[in-house]
Amino acid sequence: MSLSRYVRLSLLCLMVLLAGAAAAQTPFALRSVGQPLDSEDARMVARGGWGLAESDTLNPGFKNVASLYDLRHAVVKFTGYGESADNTDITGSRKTTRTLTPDIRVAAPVIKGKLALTAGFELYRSHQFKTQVDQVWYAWDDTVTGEERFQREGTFFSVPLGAAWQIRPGLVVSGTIGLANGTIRESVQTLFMDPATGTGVPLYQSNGRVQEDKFSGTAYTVGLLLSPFDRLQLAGTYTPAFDLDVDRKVEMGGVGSRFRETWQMTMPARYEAGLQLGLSDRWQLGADGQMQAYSEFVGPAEWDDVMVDEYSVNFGLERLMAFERKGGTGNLPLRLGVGYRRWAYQLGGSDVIEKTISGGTGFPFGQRMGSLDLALSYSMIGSLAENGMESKIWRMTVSVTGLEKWW
Amino acid sequence: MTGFKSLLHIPTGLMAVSLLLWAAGCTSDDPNTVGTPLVDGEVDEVLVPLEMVDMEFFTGKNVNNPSLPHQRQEALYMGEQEGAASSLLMNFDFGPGSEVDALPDSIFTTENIVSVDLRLLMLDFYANLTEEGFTKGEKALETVYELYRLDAPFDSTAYPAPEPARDGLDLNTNPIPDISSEPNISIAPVFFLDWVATGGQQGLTVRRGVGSQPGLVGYSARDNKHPASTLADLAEGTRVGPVLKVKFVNPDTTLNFGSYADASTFHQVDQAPADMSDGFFMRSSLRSYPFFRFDMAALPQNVFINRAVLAVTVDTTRSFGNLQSMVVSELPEELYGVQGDTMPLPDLGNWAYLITGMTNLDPTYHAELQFNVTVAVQRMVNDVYEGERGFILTAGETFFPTYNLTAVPSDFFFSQFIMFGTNAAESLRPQLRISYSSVDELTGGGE
Repeated sequence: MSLSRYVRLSLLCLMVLLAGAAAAQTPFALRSVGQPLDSEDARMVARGGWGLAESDTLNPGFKNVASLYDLRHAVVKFTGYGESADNTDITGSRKTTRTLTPDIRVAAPVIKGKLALTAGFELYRSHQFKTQVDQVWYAWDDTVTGEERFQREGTFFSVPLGAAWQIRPGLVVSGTIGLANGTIRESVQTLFMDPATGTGVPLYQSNGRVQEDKFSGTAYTVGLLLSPFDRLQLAGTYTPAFDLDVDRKVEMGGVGSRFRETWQMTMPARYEAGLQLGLSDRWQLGADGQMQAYSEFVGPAEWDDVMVDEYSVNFGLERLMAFERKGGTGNLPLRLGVGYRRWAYQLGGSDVIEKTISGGTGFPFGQRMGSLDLALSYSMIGSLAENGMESKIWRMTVSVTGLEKWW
Repeated sequence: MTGFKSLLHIPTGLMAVSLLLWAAGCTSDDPNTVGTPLVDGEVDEVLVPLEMVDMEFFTGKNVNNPSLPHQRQEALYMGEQEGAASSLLMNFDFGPGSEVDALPDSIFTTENIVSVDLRLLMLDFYANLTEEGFTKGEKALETVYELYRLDAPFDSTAYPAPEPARDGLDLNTNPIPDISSEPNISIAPVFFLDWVATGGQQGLTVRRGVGSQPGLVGYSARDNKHPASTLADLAEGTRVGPVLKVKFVNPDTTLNFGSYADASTFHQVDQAPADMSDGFFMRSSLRSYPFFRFDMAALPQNVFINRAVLAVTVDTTRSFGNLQSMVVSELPEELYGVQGDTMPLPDLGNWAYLITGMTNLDPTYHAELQFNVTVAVQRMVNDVYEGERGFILTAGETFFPTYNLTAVPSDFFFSQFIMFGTNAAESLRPQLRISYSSVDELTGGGE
């Protein structure tokens, strides 16, 4: 497959992912640091999320930059997903959908088999939800009816620039500088609809408060990939705690002045470890674990009481792609996995637990110069009994990987 | 390998199609209450009521119209009402070159003149007033006209001013209450003949006599440019100003001799009060427009004005005149000037920043007037302007085309909206009723 062809296909996928569906996610994202996102491609998602110890040169993973050391080609990878969520809380239920492109990565070998460089764009936390409730106010002799709308939106994202270097066979190290940025924008609008003039213009002008926090900082990550035995690979990454400068603006529509303040927020250290074990020529299993000590998070005081360490474990199986003549669908990869995550904050005095089951497959491009991978996953977040709300999410993840000869 | 590659087209296509269908079929439900237990963002104060009644300043701005001086007004006013009193003045020419001079002397004899009347045309608005529509139970149109000779022709540029000196003899030979919209004040022909014989100019004044019902009534002036909309059906060629109507024997005809100048004396006109405590007014024709600013100190900084209403209450038992628009505008405080000074109308047009207004207000009917001044108060909160600004209440001037809906300019009808002052009962006094919302971060200051 030529470069231009897979670029076209990638653009098609992106257009599909970015078009149509309204943007909303789980109401859990209304709180604190929002919903965690993983920098996993569809292949990793399908097998439960593991991929730290990956070292596939034809379908490389970016979860651990160290796994890129052995690249033979320049690679570009887009990952996006669309999801549909059924959300329930004590007030009712709501179905939400959204599409997102959380991950775009490129990498290229510098010294084949030894040194590779990577760059990209990665979303790692997301906040996106709206609420609306009917309200009644009283002003002078008027009973004013309308709605109160709240919207939280924004992402934490990083522009990672990294390098992977094989020190000696079986030992690879990596380093990444992540230019971390983000925004949380919270707006509340009070819409006064009645009383109104004869032409329908409300007598009372609606107002809103908008609070926007912009975050910027730099994170450093080191990674390790070990191959102590044939078919066994071990990996780990460590991201020390880092500061984010926060610039807060509070505005009220129609008011000439605005409030502004700055402070620092400290993101806690993140630890990741993973393994990959080949069971046979085509079958392998793997597991990853991550922990980020959000109990040590330093941020807005109103978040402090509910912060807990965020951790996750992922486990899965994969049947690798084959290229047997007349192999048909038997050549296709099969991936299955499960994931378990405790979110960084509690709700209703209880942990927010996310459980995921997933599966997927992939399709190689011609001459093995890339692939199209997809995963279908089902997640359950929270508990109506424990947290006062829960979300059940179907998600389709698509990754397009393109390889090109390096010159 | 070729077969496998071709096989790839199928799943790739299926993928694209299924993604398209999936994305197209996914639509979020509208936002609802789901998630509200987690919402902690809010507007700290919503629709907080704040009433302002104290005034920082007040003045009644007299406004004149240089392009339409008093002697060229289109309407004449006679009578008394709520502090305004006026008589009609008119000058007739009997000298060389006059209409009379063009006729043969032989027709101006006692035997040849059947009758002489001073004819006036009452403005249609006053002619059509009902008892309910004028002075609440008193039909003002019943008038006893008194007609006097002036000691000398009046100077039309001198008015408004006290009434000029006049002869003590009432020339009206039939001084009974008249309800006609086209009154004809009978004059003994001998007086007319004397004026003709004397030649030169003759000034007359018409006053409301004893027995008239009270009221200030308008008549058409010779400069009335709007006869079709202000007078009842007129015959072709009718002269709209005061005329001396003379009926002759030979030839058997009636001739009308028009005045060459007319005016209203407005020998008594209330000046705007020094403060609002006991009431204030907005007046058209002889314009007097109230200009004031509320004490805004109680309004927190950086709040959002959801609604601000300027409420004034018209004393409909005292107010009078034709329907008018009432317009609220902003005016810089440097135009405050001194009490009783006069501002040219073009200056007002240049400086006034329109906020809102109402049309077709009947001063005898519309009592509670509420003007939406939300945007103006928000501008004040936001310190948009250098210096302070106040509100001015005006009629629907031509530079407010949205509210200038009548066929005649604001100079035409003498309408006076008398409003209750700050000492009146709570429900009647002028006030600024504000509803605002605030967030704590901003009320403490901002950038």
